[in-house]
Amino acid sequence: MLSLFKSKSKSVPPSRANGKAAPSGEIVDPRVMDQIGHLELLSRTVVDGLLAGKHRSTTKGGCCEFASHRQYAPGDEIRQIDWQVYARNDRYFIRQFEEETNLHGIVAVDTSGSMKFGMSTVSKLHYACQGAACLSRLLLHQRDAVGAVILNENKPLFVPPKQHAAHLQAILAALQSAQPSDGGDVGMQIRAAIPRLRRRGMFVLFSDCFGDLDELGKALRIVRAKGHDVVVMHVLAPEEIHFDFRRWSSFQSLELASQKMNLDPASIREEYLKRFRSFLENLEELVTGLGGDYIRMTTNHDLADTLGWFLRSRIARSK
Amino acid sequence: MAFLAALPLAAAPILLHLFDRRRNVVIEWGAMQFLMEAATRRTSARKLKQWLLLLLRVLAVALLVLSLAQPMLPGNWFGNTERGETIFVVDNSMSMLRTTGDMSLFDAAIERAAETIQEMPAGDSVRVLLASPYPTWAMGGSMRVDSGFREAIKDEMRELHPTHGRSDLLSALFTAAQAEVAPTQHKRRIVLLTDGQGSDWSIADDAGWKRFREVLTSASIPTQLDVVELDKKSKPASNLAVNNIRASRTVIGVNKSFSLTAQVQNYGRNTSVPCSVTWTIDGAEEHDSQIPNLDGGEVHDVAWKYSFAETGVYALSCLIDSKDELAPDNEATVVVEVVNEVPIVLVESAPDLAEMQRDAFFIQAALGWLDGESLDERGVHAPTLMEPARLERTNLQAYRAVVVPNLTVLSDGIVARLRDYVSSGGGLWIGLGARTDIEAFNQHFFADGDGLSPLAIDRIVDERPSITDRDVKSQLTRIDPFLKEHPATAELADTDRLDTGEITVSRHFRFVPPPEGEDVSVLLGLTNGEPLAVEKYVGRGRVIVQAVPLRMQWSELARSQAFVVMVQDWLSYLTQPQATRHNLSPGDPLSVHLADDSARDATLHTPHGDSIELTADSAGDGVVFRSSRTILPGNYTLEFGTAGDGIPFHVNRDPRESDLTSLTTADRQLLAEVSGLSRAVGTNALTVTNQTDPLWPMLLMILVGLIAAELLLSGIISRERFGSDPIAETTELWAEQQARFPISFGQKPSAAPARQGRASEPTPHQTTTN
Repeated sequence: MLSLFKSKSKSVPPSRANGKAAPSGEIVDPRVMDQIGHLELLSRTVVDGLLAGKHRSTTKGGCCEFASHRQYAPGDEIRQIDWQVYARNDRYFIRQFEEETNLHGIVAVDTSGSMKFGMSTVSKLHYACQGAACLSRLLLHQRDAVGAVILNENKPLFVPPKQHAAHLQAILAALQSAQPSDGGDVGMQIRAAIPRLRRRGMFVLFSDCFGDLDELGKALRIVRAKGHDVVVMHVLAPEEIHFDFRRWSSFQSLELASQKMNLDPASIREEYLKRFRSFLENLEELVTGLGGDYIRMTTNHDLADTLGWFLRSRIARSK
Repeated sequence: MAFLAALPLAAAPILLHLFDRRRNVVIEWGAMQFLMEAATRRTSARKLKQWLLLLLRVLAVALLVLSLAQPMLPGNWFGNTERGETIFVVDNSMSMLRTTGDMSLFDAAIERAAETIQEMPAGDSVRVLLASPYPTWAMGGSMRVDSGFREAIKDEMRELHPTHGRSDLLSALFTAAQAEVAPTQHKRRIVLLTDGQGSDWSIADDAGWKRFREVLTSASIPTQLDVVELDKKSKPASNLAVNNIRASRTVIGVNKSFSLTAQVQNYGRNTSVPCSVTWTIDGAEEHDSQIPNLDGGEVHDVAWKYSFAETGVYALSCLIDSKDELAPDNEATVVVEVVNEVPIVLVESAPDLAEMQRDAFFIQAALGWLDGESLDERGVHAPTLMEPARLERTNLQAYRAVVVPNLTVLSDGIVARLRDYVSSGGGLWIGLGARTDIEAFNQHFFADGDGLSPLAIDRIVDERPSITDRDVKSQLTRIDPFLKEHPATAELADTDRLDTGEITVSRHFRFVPPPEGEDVSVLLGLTNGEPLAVEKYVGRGRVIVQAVPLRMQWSELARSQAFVVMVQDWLSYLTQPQATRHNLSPGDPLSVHLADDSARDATLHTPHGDSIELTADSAGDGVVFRSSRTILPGNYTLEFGTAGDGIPFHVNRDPRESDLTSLTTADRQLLAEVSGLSRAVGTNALTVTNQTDPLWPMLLMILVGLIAAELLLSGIISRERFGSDPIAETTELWAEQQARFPISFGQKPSAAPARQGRASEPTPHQTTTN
């Protein structure tokens, strides 16, 4: 009988992110790679690559894909003149072709304190690292250059993009070493990392995006303005989405130790969900508004499913 | 009320609430920004609902505890607007026939009830309960007092009759207090209308009055009891009454003289004046006697001898010519049956011996018979001589009694037949003698207490004194006529006329004394204390076992003067069960056996003039009419067919009803102490018992309402808490949701991802084609 009244405190599962880093084998999940390995991550914007690859290049070349016509100017090679157009219009036009080049992909992982949260599932940080590692592996597999940014207030880490396969280890090492900090604004940290993104490429952010949404918006706009294809992988935990707590609980902030609230969660659930829904809508609007991709992923869902759906929909839209 | 101790349990919901708040689960949380915003927006309306829910739970527990304690409210808590019921308990015993002024007390009671009905508000109900001879609802139950019915009720009440019986007011009040309550009635008034006669009140029954008080206080509706004593006279009443008539026997032979004794008692305190007594037969005056002046409480016997010349059933009455307060008790009646003969069987086991040596010779002679022929002076009993072996073949039901003057060994079959015969009402008289086998008797007739004999026999005892005794005569054992009062030996005790006390017994069987604590009815005993004749009731019949034979052997009984009286009386006693009982006590069943089965229907006329149709039941070769509607004392007549005189029956009244002594002050005090009845100033006797209304049914109803409200409120709160639309966990699921519910979003299923795709599509390089 007394056991009924005993506190059945749900022990928070030890977050792997706030403990030791997981071994690399766990980060790159072979099962996930099996499911998404045959897919491609294509940039939807033009990118500055040095080598021939799958992505549209800023350089116009003479092979492959026709791009456009332009009026002949003195100095142009005679062989590039489209004689068929000349025949129809009696004017000289030069045929221009697009070149395809390789991509410089940057995976950015938010390590703010809130990413430490994981109650019934793995922590959001761990889930984000897994996602980042799988995407890195995929990009390297398609001969793209991949770099990584660990967004940490205390110990930010940047791994420059490189193309060779051995670079994966460096990225994985960086991801494994990612430790959650107490606080930190992800927008500020992105802005701090922007100067290092020299060539146009793809910027993939793994974050819960909690914090100042305006600041995040500013940072992402700068990234987008520099010509990067922006993808926001919004990592959330199921408890944060549903807020299905029934008992009186004491909520201890993961970012600020002094922040603690005793309340009846059920009584504020409606208000919480209202605000959370508004936040999600604002974030999605922000990301899609600046031309990026917004992907919401929850830690209780299979990473392979979420990434697979994302890659397939992206391929479908690029055709 | 012990349940009230559990009232603190009502705080359980508050304690559980506080306990639940105390045992906080610590959750390390990331999305604090939404939590803080949401927490500041908790509305007071929601808080109010929470507290209201808690209040409802506390009240529900408190109400449950209070309901279990079964609280009561004062009866007038809800006002007096409800409809009520008045029960008139009318004492209609014989004493209510007294006249005061120009009307009897019973009529006065009815008029008093009529006055009360006149004053009653319309819509109330009235019931009348008659107390005598037992509580009976009159007028077909409850009647509504309306303007049209008021007179009809009063007229119907005036049709009620008093009886000659007693009334038991305690049981009448019990019946009234426990009467079924109609759902529309919310209060009850019991009005007892009585003459205040002390004997009706069962004063000695303390436990009964206490129980009545409990019944009154625990009645389901408020009950008020008013006692109205109609006899307001202070001086004691004078009343002379004939208590009863005792007849020496009720089955009499033609031209046989029998004696009647009427017991007259003065129930007043003052000495009565001398007056005459008239004896009537079927209403015709036959004889007058005088009674002297009697002191208060004095009893006087008036005797009369008479003989009938013709057979038939006659009602003999004794009427005092006195003008006292209560007239009906001046007369008493007894019904006698005059027959030619009553057939009996005499078992003769030695018919071949000389006359004096035969078993049945002396008893036959005592009945006035010799060798099967009647003499000039014979009794009513007609004997048939029979050898023991014939008993097995003869239909014994044709005879009223079987006499075995000198018991020999009888076969098992005969004993079984005798047992059946006695069980069905026959009489058996066994005389033990020299040829009686002790072992066989104990085995067949005693049979360990289950047989016909009340006692086993031990041995033959010789009572003759030794020769050396000087005063031989004083040592002889004789019959003791005064051993015990018994209706069969009443005449034998008259030693002035009879030589009962002179009869010596030289030898007899000794009975085995009964076990400790068991009593055996002894008819006659010996001077040495040993029983001479014992009796036992077996079924409807009676058995007498006598320790000496009914012949000249072992005793001088057979040649004594008392022997004739003894034989006549004892045979009358033994044949009584099979004779029709014409003198009954109230409630005794009336049963008439007719050998002629032509009459199948009969009508029983009661003292109140009611006619009850009876149908005969077949019984052997004849028919039997039975009725149990003999509760009213008085004269009944059973008529067969359409014409002809009926058979009279009489149900005796209780002599105690003639005692008109009112309740004494001590009696009233005792009643007040035991039952709570008290005398109020301004009325005759009034007790108001304010009952209380049970509150707990209302509490239970409120509890049900509270539980329903609690369920509703908790449902609303739960819906507010957990009824919000879920948020899609992933973009993929969100897209699926959009595709599944296109109408609600006002777009095509494929529009959502497409829109998203388009919105996020960066503007590509414009390509123009010439």
